[in-house]
Amino acid sequence: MTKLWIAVPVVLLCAFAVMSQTETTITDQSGQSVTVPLPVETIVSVHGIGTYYVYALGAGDRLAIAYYIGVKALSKASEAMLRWEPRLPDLLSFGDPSIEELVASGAQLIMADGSQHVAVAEQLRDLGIPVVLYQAETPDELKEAVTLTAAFLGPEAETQATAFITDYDRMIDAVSLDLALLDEGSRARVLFIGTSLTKVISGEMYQTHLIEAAGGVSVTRELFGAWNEVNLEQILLWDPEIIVIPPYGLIQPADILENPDWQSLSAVQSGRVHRMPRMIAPMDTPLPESLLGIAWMAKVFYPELITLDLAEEVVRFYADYYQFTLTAEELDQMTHP
Amino acid sequence: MNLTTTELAFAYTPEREILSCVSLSLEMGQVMFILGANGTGKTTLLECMSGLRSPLRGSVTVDGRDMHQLAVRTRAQNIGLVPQMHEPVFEFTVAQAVLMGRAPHLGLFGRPSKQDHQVVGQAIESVGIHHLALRPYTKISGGERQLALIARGLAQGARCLLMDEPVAHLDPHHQHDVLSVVRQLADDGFSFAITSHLPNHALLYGDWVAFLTDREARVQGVPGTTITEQSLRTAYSMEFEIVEGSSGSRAVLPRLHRKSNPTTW
Amino acid sequence: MIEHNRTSFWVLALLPASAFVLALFLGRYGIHIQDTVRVLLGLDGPSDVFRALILRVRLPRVLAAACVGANLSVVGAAFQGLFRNPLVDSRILGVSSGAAFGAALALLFTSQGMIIQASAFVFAMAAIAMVMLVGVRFGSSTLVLVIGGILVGALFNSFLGLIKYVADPLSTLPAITYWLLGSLNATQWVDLPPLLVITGLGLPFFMLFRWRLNLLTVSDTEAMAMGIRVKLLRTIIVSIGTLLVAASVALAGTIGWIGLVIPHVARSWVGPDHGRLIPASAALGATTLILLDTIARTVLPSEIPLGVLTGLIGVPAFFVLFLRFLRTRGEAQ
Repeated sequence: MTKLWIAVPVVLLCAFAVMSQTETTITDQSGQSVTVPLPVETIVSVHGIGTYYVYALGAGDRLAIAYYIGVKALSKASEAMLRWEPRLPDLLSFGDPSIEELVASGAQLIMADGSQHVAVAEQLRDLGIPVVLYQAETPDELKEAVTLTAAFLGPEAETQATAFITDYDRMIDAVSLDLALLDEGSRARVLFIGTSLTKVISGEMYQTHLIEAAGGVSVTRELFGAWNEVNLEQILLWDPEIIVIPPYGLIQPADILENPDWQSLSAVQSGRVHRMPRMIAPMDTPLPESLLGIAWMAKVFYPELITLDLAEEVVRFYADYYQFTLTAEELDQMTHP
Repeated sequence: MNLTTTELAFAYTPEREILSCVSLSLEMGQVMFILGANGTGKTTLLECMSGLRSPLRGSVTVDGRDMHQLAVRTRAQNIGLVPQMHEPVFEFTVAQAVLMGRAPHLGLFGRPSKQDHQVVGQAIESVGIHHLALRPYTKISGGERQLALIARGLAQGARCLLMDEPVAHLDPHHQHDVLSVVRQLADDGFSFAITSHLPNHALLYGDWVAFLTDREARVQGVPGTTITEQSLRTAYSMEFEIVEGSSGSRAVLPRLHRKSNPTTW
Repeated sequence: MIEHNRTSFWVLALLPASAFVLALFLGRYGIHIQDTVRVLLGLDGPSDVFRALILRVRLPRVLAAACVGANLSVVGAAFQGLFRNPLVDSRILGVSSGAAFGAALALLFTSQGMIIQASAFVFAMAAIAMVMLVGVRFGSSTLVLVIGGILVGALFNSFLGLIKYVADPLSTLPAITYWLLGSLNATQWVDLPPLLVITGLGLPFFMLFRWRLNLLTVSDTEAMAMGIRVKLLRTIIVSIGTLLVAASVALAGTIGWIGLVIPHVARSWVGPDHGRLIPASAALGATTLILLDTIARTVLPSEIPLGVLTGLIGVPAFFVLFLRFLRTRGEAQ
């Protein structure tokens, strides 16, 4: 008889405990409240940037289908990527998300792009699948996105998220410290171009924040919107000291250094035209790797003043967040622009 | 200049002939009216006479020479075609519109010369619209437009003008304006073939009339004797009566069936 | 309003020349007037930067603007006469749609200007070839050509839609959108030879044929009765006109309204006689596009797409012309 008196409350307590652990409500970056099961075991990410949050938080094995920014086909994936994620051929997807395919994947939660996938998200929610929308264009929004992701991945991920945010802030502080004695007027004037010689970033884009975190000043900060088209005269007018080419696209430093019309630019005359290296994700986008983006840029802008060891940072980052070891060649690629 | 069709036949499609055996002869200084019901092929006949269409059988000759042996330019320099009224799209002046008639005299890149402008001036004078030369073509009356088209034909150098229902849309005053100019030019040696629905005009202004019925022009001759109640009945499938005017001129009236006392209701 | 005097002639002759020279003095990078003059006269003094800017950046671009503006306007005027419809634009026969498709297709694979230009040109000519085939099969009356043009244009537009769909929304799609809006940014000397050659052959052709064009504004029957080989002339004019439009669009992207509005402005100035209309359209078109391109590259730090400017100015301009047209129509009735 006593056994029953013990058993029933225990069972009830367990049931209660189990029930209270199965759900949580989070607010995604479009302001919507999303109720998600806890912890999430099967995730689909149709947000090429969001995928990397999952990996950085140690939950890459929970992905069933994933978009990877800039990689629309297996042929576009670098060797490093294939080595890092052997499941890539099974996971990789791209294009307009197919509702049916997403449902068939058995995903408990879908990560999507807050600017592209609003309509798709609504349909999925109607079918009972929680959708988390992301929209990060600033460092704060990046941190928010990472925290938000950790919230449905479980306590270990939350620890990792905190570690990442600390790391990110540490990087910014370290750069700041090194440049403490640099006055405003001596800041490096940087031009960040896109996939064509006359395409440049606007002041509203994430890359501008990275440039500033690295201690530089973007010459195109007065522009707004997305990528802007400008003409050569304007570029000559800005006369940047450093030109940064993104890790994607076909432009190489030689295309600028050897271009007769660009010769009079300070950046060209001092040879300071650099293309960002790429290992796995592009480090000028709002995802964890952008931490290395700051480090790389700072080192490029102020080689004498910055004290951090880029190689060390790279090795540590990929080990901590991607469980990935670079070869000597790959490390060299990352550290010598 | 003489324009003759000999047993002219034409068809758009092999199964249906529009014209089977039309023989006409337009003499210098002659005004010929071609009458016929709608759809009897009057427009097609004019197009064949101007050389725009090739006959199925028979021939069209100009002063004895086969029309189709002549170069297109030569044809245009001798025969003018004035189609039915159309709504002009652009605001050319009357002078510019008439100047277009000089086309067959200009080369491929032809730039009109002083002489061309002189010819245009004369043509405009001879139809009596000198005062309208610089007026936009779109801003003159229908009758004046017809006169301009006649002038254009003259500017081509044509001695013979083929006109397709030229006064169909004009009020009686303008009808007279146009046809009296035609009459006048005929007296100067130009010849006209005019298709019409108005037998009275043939009686008033014509030298010759031809009825186009059953794909032939069997009934033709001097208007006074050729336009009879019988020929009209055959042509239009309707009853007409010929009445005499006070000055001895004759007119055609449709014979309507009225109540015996129209004045009392 | 129609002026036949010497003044008009000189104004129209000097307008494009003045605009051309003026445009060379203007740009984001302020250059002293004296330096510009020295560069243009080949004198020593100005720095290499100035020289490069004026001779390699501004000059080819202004020249391209002049050619494109003249081409689109002349062909617009000729087609308005040819199709007897003042609402016709030089793009009526599907040429622009073909070019847009060709450029978008190339943009999927490359960002090299030369290849994009070549692809745009090839597909523009393909579009007109298709329209001509329709004409051969169904008779090249103006109605058939117009309908053929609409169908071919629609076909290429759907293909364009397909390309936009598969294009990468982050990089390729914006590039396609930007190309479609039209721009002469980054025009270099190497881009110019095809345009210059075709313009050099095509524009004189239209100048020589301009009186003949008057004759095409009357009905086919009348024109034939005046000794004109209407079908032949129409085919030739459409072919050469299309070449001019294709070469222009291939370089500058799809720019609207120029081919429609400029001929109207020219017509209200010098009248409908193509003897004057064609040269006037060329002069006004060149001037307008030079001025608009100068605005596009000078007013803001970023480039304003040409198509946006032509639209912003073209639509109200057309509206004004349309009101005037209605008023004169009302008076006539």
